[in-house]
Amino acid sequence: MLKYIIRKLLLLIPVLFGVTLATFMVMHLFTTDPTEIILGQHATTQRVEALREELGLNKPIYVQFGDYLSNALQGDLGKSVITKTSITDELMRRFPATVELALTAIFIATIMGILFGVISAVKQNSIYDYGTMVTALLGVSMPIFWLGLMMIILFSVILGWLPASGRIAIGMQPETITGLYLVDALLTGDMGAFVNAFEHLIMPAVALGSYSTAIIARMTRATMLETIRQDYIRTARAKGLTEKIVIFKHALRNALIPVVTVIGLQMGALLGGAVLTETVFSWPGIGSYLVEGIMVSDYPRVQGAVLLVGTIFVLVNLLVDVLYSYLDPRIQHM
Amino acid sequence: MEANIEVKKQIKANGHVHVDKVKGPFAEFVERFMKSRSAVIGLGILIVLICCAVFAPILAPYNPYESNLPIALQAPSAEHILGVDELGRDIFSRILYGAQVSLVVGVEAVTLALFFGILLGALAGFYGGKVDTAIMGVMDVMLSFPSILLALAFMTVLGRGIDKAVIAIGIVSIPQYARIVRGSVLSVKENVYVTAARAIGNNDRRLIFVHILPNVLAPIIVRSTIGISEAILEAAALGFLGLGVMPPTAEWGTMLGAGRQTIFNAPHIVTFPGLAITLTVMAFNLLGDGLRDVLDPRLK
Repeated sequence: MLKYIIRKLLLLIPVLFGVTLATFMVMHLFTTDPTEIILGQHATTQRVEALREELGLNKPIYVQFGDYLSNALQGDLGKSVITKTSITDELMRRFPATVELALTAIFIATIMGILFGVISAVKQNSIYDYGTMVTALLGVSMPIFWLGLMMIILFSVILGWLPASGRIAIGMQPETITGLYLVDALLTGDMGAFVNAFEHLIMPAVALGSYSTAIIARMTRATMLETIRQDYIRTARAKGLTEKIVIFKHALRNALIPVVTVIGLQMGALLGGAVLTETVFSWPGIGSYLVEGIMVSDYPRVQGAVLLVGTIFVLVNLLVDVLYSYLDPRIQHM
Repeated sequence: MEANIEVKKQIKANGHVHVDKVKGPFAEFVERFMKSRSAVIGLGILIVLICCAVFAPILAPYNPYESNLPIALQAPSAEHILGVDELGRDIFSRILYGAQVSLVVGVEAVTLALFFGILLGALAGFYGGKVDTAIMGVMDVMLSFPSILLALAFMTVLGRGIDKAVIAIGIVSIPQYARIVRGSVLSVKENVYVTAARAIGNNDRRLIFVHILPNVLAPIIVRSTIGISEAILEAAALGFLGLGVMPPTAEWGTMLGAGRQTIFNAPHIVTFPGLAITLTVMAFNLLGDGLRDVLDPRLK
């Protein structure tokens, strides 16, 4: 097991190097000259040259990449060309917001997805099954940013139940421990902050998790249908076990193995979806930071955010691989 | 692939053996296709959507680009069945014209991705070794990003516009097709008939394009159908973020993005373009699911 993890970790090095190189190349080869963004089109040559030197743009491209890579390895992703603030600091400040949103979304998606998938499989061809599958089809077909807008219209505009944007009401932030407001509020016993943070979180999380819920429900249904036809399930029933035990203890446990991979892959998809959800709900995370960066052509900011998300994506996939090999030991030999 | 000739024997009640007419592969495909409910529904919706796109100039009651500020933000009414947008343009007409953009972007992006995906996947699978490592290494790096993120990065550097959205979405989808083609080529190239084709003197190009690729078509067709739905969603997302087509082009995602500003007093502006996206994506998903059952039952 340890050998497998080490091998996987070693394989990460070329992939992460590639990820860094790819973001760097895309941003450096084709974007408009950052000096033009900062100084405007009519700046004097001297000023442009001075700025190019300051930003290191007068060096050969491979030297620039070397500098970027060594700085990135030390956790320095450079400065925003617009606000001149440290990108690493800003990303770290916003990181917990995205993590809280993504974790809540995947939590909701997993619970709902598995529940609906199991019901659908156990009651195959019933009205529940058709209902779930049609909803799941809608879930994979609906743009999540549109679902987010529809939820805002229903729950904020018409019913007035939930806030339409932001992460928490101004002045209600709990004391920072983990940066995750729900957790911090619980740890400090600040129930007001907990409820307020939860009200802000629930809509974006459900919207973000909708696609994953649908995918997990479909996958659970498919694997459950396969599993409940196996001989050992018949044996379990023949032993006189109750249907509940047969389904949840015998069938679900085995049916869930492939579902775990899907959940892991969804975690990655969520990071992409977060860009859109955060924009819809003005959620102060990495996604909205990235989109704002694109709007003002702040390429170091875009580069840093893309690099961070790419790295997390790769690490999450590694975690899924490891978890999968733990659940299904045969996989290690492949 | 299964034998093309299917002979159905039915023993009738009187004991005679009845042999059905021999069917060609296309007739067999049509018969199986018609039996798949999702494929038929998907295709039906799609035909309606294509008609909307093609006949938009005839069907649209108003000019989709003509603004009429005095009636801006007006809710659906008898004159404007889906209401008007923030510039007083008829939303129904804009949705009809938007179908042209979405369908074209979806199909073109997937065509681009298919071209390079098939080429790279076939080369990687056929030659193996260093070629495989190099090609799939690049593909793995591309797969290390959520695709919408990569498309956003490309749009940042390419700038706005339909053609650029097509390129960005097309490029980020290449790895998916390359992977499928590589996998299929790897399994197909070991078949005896490929060895036989090589033995009679076919060169590599002919082996790949004439003997191997036609046999990996099924998974490619299924994946591309679902790929179009993903491309349409991504294009809408880019439009929503303000990185898609240039205004005033009627594009569903861009319409949603613009309507967001007035969501509190005119929610109808964001409602209908979103429904149009959902319906279109659903049609391709249904068709894709149906085709998978029809063409390649193993993929189920």
